[in-house]
Amino acid sequence: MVAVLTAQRLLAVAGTALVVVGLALGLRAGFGDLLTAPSLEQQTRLVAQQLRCPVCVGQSVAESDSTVANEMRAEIRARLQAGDTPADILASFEQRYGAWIINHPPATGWYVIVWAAPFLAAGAGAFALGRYLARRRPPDSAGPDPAPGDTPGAAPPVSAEVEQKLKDYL
Amino acid sequence: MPTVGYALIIAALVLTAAATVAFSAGALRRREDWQRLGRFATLLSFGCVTVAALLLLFAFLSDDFSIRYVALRSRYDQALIYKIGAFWAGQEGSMLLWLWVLQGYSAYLAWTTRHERRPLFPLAIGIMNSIGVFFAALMVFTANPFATLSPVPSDGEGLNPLLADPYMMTHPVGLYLGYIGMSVPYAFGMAALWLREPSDSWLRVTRRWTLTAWLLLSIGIFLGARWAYHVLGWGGYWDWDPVENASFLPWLTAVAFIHSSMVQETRRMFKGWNMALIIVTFMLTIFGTFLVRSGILSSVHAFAESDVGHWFMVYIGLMVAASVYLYMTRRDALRDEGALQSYTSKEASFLGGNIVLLAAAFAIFLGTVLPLITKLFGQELTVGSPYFNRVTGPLFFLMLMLMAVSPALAWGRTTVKAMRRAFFVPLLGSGLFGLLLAVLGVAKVPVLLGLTAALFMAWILVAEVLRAAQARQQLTGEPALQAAWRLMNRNPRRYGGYIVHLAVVLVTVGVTASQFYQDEIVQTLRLGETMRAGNVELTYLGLDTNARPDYTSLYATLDVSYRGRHVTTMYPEKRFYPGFSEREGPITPAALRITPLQDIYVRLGSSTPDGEQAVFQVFVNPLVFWIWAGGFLLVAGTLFAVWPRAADVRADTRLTAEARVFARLRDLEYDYRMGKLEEGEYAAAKQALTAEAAAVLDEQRQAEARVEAELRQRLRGTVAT
Repeated sequence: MVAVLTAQRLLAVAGTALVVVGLALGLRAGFGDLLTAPSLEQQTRLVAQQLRCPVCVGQSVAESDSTVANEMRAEIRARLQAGDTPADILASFEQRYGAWIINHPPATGWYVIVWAAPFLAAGAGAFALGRYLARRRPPDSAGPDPAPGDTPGAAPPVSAEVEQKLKDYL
Repeated sequence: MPTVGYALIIAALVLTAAATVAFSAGALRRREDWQRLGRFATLLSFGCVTVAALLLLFAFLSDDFSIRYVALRSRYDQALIYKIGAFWAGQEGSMLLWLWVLQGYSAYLAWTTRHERRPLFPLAIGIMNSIGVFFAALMVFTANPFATLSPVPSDGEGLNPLLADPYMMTHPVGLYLGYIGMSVPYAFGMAALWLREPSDSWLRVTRRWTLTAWLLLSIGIFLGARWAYHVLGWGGYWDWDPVENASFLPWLTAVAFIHSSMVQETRRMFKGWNMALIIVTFMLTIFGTFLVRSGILSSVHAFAESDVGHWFMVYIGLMVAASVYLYMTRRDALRDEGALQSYTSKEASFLGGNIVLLAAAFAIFLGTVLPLITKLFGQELTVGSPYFNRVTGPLFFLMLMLMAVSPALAWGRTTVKAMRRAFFVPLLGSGLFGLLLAVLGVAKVPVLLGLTAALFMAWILVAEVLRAAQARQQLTGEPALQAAWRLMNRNPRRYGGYIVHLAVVLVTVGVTASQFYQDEIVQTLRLGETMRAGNVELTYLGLDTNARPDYTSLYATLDVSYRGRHVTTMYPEKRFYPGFSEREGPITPAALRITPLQDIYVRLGSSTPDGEQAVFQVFVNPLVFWIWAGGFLLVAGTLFAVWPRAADVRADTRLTAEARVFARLRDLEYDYRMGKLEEGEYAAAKQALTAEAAAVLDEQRQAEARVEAELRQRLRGTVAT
């Protein structure tokens, strides 16, 4: 019996290890080439995504096909190559076009609200729910509520009819 | 013909208004004859809208450019499917489609429930008709699809080329069918509220409607993403665009509703919450239609801009006011009967998920309407994808963790031992997997967390199904496969849901990988030159043009080879649409090579006239395939859950109380057999439920006896006379 259990457990561990290693190696084999440092184009895109295209509707510089966006991308690329950090580049665009050009409000000043609101709402929701549930909790719910005349552990008497019907629903 | 069409819409307005009044008054006063009138008006209004819709379709097919709507969206040589699809490519046609589908649903309900005695049904169908009044009025007063043009142009302007795509022809239909489907649970919820109906029969009656509407909405969203992926050409499928968000918002709240309504059905909790959720969901569908059609926010999808905006504003305001009024005046009918036993329970995880889903919906809503709000205070601010990604990312991670633990939890209270057994191995395994990924060079924390959570979730799901099948095997003695199949079919809602959760795992993997490991290469190639992209080599073979009926294509030929062997040829192109490209430039849809591991996504950039040189923009998108695979799996899972089975017909109509109490007994039995419940709690719950079941069976027997006695008496009466 003991031997069987150990063999089973061994199998489980071995299976787990196999799944894990297999998945990881598979991913590595498939995408090893993508795990290297992001290409210049990719870095450019990450910056361009944060800038609004000045002449289009609802698109960022990364997505737009317009001439302006193309020029802006070229500038970002060139400055990244020259060693500027993304923050520097964003700041200079902001200076030129105003705060409007930044796609997402910086998390400073009043804008903190925009960033924090969803999490505050989730927190407030969880708090309100907790309060509500605590209020509704039956007073005897500290442990398993024992039904009158019930001895824990004993299988309750079940009518044959109910038992029979339950089989249909299982 | 335009006059006839317009007259039919006016008739629909009158009829939907009449049906609203007749049904509501008939339901509240219990007048059968008024309800019959309402039914008649509903069916007739559907007939009118159907004829109007067919007329518009006919106008498109027969190139009737005297109708303004047709002239702006069609041309003589437009392909047939785009002549049909142009029907819903603009605002007026979309409104007509809305009304058509809505009245179709209403007519179907009015007809199939004609023998129903409960006032819930006529009142709900009356409320649906009142929604129809709004859309009919919209067309009668500001957005007449049959408005004429004079002089009649010799040819139409044609469909916006961005829309001339098979996915774009189907995507709005999916969205609309889903949006409008949500009006059914909303109308039944409002009717139940109005009647102060304490039971949750409105939830059971509309369960299948809600799931189906959600399914159609999901299909619409996936098709829209697929369209954006290959037509908009920026290498992605989702950009947090206002219109995309508008379709995602009701989807999220509907997911919350679907889960919390299960809590109401099994634990008799959260009646008010469910009511609020369906109100919010329905309002968001109207809001979504409003966003797409009003052009109030700039979007790449907002193809119809006009002045219907304030109509929608007023309507949304009225509906919110009416819903809130009903809710507040009938709060007493929404008092919960049950209470939460423990936080380590299935219902607790559902509620936690609800909070997270709503927080995500709130974040997306806030980000979407931010320009509107901030405009009131001066400087207009917008937020783009970085905001949405950063804010919803952690919330979705939280959601994944809740989705992972939820299946292993029992209704009521789960024992610590059971949780340890259910979570230990998956947690260890996925933790090791994450560690291994990190060692192998995945350095981005969101990717590590996302993939680890996805594996954790899938692992528990599969283990849970296997364990339940094993428990069934012990209970019934069936062979393993039969036990698994029957287990799933006896509780299709749960196991269909699990399949959908697996679909979410696939989508998570696809989104995480493609968001963080997309690669982009821009390269100029001379004739015959080769570039490397992902795991393939692309060789530039030449540039050519091709005159098509509706556009001229300038296309490059690229040979694609994998490890030196030719696998396929790609043709990235620029399409020049006459009359459009002069203003807006050519359309550059991407050429795609989709494989399970990575997509090669190529766009043609500028080129020399002789074709000697051309610029190519190439994206390597890992695992995007998994997103579409997840979409298919989601459809399969939802279909599994909603597919009508013989047992449901029984459960839905005749033996509802019986089916419900036995479903709870069944869940209890499985939870216990799978070791999730404390012995004492199981015994107590079993005793209580058995007593309830016995009472239900007893009552049924008595009811049957009463009916039989009455029948006998009547029979004797007829024999005597």
